[in-house]
Amino acid sequence: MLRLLLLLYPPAFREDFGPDALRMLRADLSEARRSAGVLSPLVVPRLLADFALQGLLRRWDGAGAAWSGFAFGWGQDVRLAIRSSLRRPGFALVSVVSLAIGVGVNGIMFSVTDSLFLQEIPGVDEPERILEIGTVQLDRDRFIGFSYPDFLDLRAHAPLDRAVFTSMEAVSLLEDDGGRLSQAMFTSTGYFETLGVRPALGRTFHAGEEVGVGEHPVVILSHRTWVDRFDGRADVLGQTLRVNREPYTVVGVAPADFTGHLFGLYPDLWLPLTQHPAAVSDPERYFQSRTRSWGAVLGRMDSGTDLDEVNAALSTIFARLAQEYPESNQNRGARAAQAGMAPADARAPMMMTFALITLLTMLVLAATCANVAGMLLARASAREQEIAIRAALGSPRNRLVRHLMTEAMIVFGVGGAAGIGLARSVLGIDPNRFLPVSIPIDLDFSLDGRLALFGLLLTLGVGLVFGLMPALNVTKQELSSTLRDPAGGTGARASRLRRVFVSAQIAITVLLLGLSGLSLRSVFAWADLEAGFDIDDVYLVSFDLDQEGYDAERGTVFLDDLVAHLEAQPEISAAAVASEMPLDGASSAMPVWPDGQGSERWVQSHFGSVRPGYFEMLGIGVVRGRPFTSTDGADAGRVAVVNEAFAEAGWPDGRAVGRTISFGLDPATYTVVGVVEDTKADGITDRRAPQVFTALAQSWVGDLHLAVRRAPGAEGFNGALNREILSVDPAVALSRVRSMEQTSRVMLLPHRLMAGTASALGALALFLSALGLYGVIAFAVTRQTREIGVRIALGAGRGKVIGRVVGSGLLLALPGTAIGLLLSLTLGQVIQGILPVSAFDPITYAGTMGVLVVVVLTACLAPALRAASIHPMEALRFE
Amino acid sequence: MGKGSEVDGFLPLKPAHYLILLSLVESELHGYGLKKAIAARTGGQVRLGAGSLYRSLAQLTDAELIEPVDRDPDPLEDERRSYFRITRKGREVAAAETNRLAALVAGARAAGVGG
Repeated sequence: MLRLLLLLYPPAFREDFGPDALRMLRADLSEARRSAGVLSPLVVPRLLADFALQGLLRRWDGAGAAWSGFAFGWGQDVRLAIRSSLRRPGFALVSVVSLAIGVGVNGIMFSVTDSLFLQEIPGVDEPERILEIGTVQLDRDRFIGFSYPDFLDLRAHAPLDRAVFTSMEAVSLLEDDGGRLSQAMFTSTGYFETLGVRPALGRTFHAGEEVGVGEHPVVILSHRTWVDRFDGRADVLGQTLRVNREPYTVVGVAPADFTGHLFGLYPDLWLPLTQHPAAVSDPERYFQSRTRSWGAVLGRMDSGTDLDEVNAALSTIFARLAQEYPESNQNRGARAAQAGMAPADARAPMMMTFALITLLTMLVLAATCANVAGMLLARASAREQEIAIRAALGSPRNRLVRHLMTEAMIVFGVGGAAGIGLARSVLGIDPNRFLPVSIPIDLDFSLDGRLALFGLLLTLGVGLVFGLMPALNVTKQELSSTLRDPAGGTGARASRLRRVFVSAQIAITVLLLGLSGLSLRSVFAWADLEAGFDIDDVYLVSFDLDQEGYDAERGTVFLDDLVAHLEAQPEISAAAVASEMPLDGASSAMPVWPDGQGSERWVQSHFGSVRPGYFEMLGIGVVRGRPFTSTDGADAGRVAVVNEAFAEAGWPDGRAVGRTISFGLDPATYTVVGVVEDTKADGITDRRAPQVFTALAQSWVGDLHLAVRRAPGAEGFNGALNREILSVDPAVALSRVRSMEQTSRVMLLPHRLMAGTASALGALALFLSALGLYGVIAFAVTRQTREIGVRIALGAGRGKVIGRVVGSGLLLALPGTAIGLLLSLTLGQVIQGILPVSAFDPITYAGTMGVLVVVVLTACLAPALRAASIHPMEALRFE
Repeated sequence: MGKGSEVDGFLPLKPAHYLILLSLVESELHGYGLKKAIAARTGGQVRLGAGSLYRSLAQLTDAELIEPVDRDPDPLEDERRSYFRITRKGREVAAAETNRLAALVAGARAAGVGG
């Protein structure tokens, strides 16, 4: 074992002194044990640590083995470096700040990516054996939910230790001060056993609770609910909790470290699947129909089985099911994936976005490093004479390299540490403070020590590379030439290297500016269209009247009662009902024939059935004709309303009112009675899309959304809405209430995130490029002081001098710009799919170029003015 | 550049290096012997760990202030160990350091510090 410590020493040392040193270490250790006795646990580690440390330090000695003045220790280099950094605080500050931002942003991205994609479910036993299993529609490769009978077949035949059916639903938890919407996880028996989670108190669900729909009002509390509602009291077992107004008995409490198996969704309660409200209202359909997909399946793999075997078994099971039940299971398969924090089917697109952002942040870090290296190089070049003199006095090259390296390492080390501090504090902020969602999301992105250490080592590694380059470059000089001619020497080579750094920076900057431009343009483009209707104070809640046993006739009556009742409430100013709500995602599209069914021309269009009052309530303007009224009943002539986009797409003259349309396979024709303004049917990122509306009473759909507009100043609204709906029909199962504004913001979140990140990084890169460019130009001007002085003496105008300097700056920026543009256009094409603007968007690129030119000019301005103010006499004296 | 400046380049010596050189002035020693000699010389105040001692020996060898000795194994010892001896340059450096310290001490005494 001790032998391994020797590996810390350089090979030459091991060869010469290894055995002796090891022998002495052993002797030291045994003596320490003997003499220190009970204190030896304190002494022995110190001896080992010293031995290890000396090995590492010996490697440093090795770097300067040829250098004879070894007594000039490394500590002195450090002191020298710190002193010289402090002498030029501007350089140190800019380097450290830009490195801190570069490292910090990377730390944040790595940490978020880590928690989203690499972490296992916390508080769970052997998480690598837990699988998430979804059914997929084979022809569309899309995850859909599981039906309960399919789950039973899976549980019976798949090579799984355990499998469990889960369904997350909002329930109302009645508290002293009114109802509170809570997240409940409904599960078949064996949920906690599948995950290997032992309750902190009480029991889990037992097998008897899987049969007998509605007969098991028992509840297991999350640790948080237990602490919040019951103050963590041990006598909670047996107490009563009112869930959806029904009394439930507390039988267990989950442990503190288990926050559910879904990323960011910490359930408040676990309930038996047999208590699921929708399933209770229609048990036959929920528990016996294979067409009703309403749950997700979790499984624990048999030990000795691997994922491929499970998937193969799933294929066999589902192939058999497809044969036995072709009407429901045709084209249906199942797929298992290791359960992680991000849902398996969302992982790919999420990873794509994150990979892109991570790429950008790494580019910025690269630009930052290039910049700091450029500055180090400039400093080294400026100290060329000092270095040449030291070299002439016999200071060997190794020593000089080490000195310059030490400076680089200190700057990178401090910058990296500051960056990690920055990342830690940003990640410590509770994301719920800025995430616009109505259910609290539990995310823990905190930067762990492992990542922090990795980040720091990475920075130091980068510092080593970027510090070594300038150091080697500067010391590789012809002594005599530098001493003779301070303006010559390695200057040429150093400044070539700096030009490369600056070009790389500018390329990265242009790329980032291009991308942030595209993202910003996208956000603005969507924000413009956001005003398709008035979303302020609008709240949505969903229910399925088909499941509640309503037909079209009774449903219409119920909705009339409901809307009348709601609008009579002081908290609610208006209510509307529709099968689709704008911005809510998941909207269906179907072909619509403007010239009669089966004709050649058709328009792919979004479709919704709406109750009268829908347009008025949402503030969607009627452009021509009329909206729906209560006279458009089941017995009246069939009517439709189209939006402007449909009118334009459907008829060349755009005159829609009075024409007839038909859709899908429905042979009926509908007369267009009105044209309304465009809204976003399928989320705010949606492009302007054709839409057709029919009257709900004439084309009944039971799966409905209710939208209400809150009266100004109404408080405690969520509870009120639920209560009022339940007062019309106490049995109706309601989704959670969500505000339309939140819905729209959630839809935009990835894009905002992208735009925000790209813009911030772009700005940072721009600043760094400006700095780098300024450095190079200013340095060149200083170098050419004599030449410029001669030119001025020979009669060159100041304007001409300024022009030359600025011109050289623009020329310097040219290659980087070209490369950056090329990269940006290429990457833009890759992400074209998520952009509402073209990847070749001229405004974006004109803007990018404009910003860049301004920055280049600004960076050149100070050096140019200085050049123009050079006095010929002084210039000739300048050395 | 004269020899004096070459020697001066090593000053001030690290205490451990100085003690090693002093111990080797009297006789050739192996690592364990050096450790004991240094402990004896300082009344047990300085005890070098294996890592520190051998790293110092490696540094001093690099600087050519000491050199390893090829020597037949001691008949009384069961294992072969490396011995070190001080070089001429090493003696000069040790002497220069002694003079430096002496001057320092003399200055301190003149200023009334110490006895």
